[in-house]
Amino acid sequence: MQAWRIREPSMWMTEFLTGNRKTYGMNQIGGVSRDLPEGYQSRILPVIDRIEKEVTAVVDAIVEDGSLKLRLQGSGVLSHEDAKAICVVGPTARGSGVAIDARADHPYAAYGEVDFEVCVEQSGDNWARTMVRIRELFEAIKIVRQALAKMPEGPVMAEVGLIEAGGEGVSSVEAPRGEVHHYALTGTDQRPYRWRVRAPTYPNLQSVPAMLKGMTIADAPISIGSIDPCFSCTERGAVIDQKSGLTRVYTQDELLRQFRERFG
Amino acid sequence: MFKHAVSELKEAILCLRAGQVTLGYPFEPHSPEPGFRGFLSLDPDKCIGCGACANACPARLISVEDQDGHRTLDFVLARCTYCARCRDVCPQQALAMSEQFETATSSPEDLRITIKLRLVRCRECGAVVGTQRQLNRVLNELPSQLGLPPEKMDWLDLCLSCKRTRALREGVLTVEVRA
Repeated sequence: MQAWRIREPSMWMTEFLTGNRKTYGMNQIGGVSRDLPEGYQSRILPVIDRIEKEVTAVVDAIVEDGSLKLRLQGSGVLSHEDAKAICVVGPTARGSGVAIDARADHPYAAYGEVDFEVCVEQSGDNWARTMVRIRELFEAIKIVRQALAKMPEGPVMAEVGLIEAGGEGVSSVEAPRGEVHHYALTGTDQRPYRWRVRAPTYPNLQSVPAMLKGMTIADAPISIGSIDPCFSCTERGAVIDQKSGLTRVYTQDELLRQFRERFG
Repeated sequence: MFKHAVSELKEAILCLRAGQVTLGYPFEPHSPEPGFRGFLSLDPDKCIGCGACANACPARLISVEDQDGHRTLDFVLARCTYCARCRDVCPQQALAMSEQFETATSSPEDLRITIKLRLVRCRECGAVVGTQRQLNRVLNELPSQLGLPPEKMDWLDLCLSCKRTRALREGVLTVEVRA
């Protein structure tokens, strides 16, 4: 619960910076639709200073907690070989000694201009994944401080103009749960013709059977929780008829049949 | 064992020092940060029904329909992502993001805004020209911008195609036909 308390000021800060706690709604083709509000530096720095101090206190208190160690160490083990074979991403991979991080491997945005460490743990258990996340919190604070110090002036939007049909784009971004891939194919009406997202939970969830093999049922909730799953991210879509308001869920067979009929 | 006891003691101190952190909400009001983008509000007096918002909406939740002498703009805000692009493109500043964040409801109709505006049809062919308010705005702004007397604006209630025909007929516009 203390972690939630410490997190809350960062949500208020996000609301101040973007206009909302979670749905930032500001990314657009060409940049962002709003610049940072006046006085953002003096607002962000005290918040991250405080988070750093408070997280340090929590980490200092829990690392020697015997019951926490008993619960997390040796449970939900994902071996280095399994992690590689299943192609897990993010903290799930880094907890099993797989040093992958899109920010460092193929830097995008301004990640090439900031200095940070890719946090890797070797033991592959729930404890390792927890430690990776804790260490990454401090790395994130380090990145925010560097970004604030190096923040350039200038416009936040570039003029893009009309987008040609049939163009393709692929991007990989390191989200908190791991690499997220987006693929887009542009259509004729300035809208995407096809857009496919592979959220990190999709590969990470495949590692749960390997983690739980031979474990007790009591280990299941914390092991599944340790990959920080977002089940809604693995959903594919719902079809809503705007006129009637009816929601329809297509079965796999229906989708395949429709797709094949349309595209051969 | 000793380390474990120290750790537990530290945890207890952390919890006790934090004290009560929960807010009084909902018994006390909670006002969001300035610049917060809450539930969309539409000023029905300002809207001219141009449909710029429908064009900009990434969720395509605004539908524009011309029927029976009226243009209906229907906002199905249950699908709103609060990006405020409709507000940003509105030429009338009729849209605003309110401070309202308590939108939970059991009835989807609560998350819907509908506005009906009178349509003007082309006096020659009957095609839709626009809403009465769109024409009013043009009538209010264009004469002074172009230095035209308002009585010269009698082509306003013609559709685009009839305007072209008239311009050609009166020799305002000439078309060069190349062999």
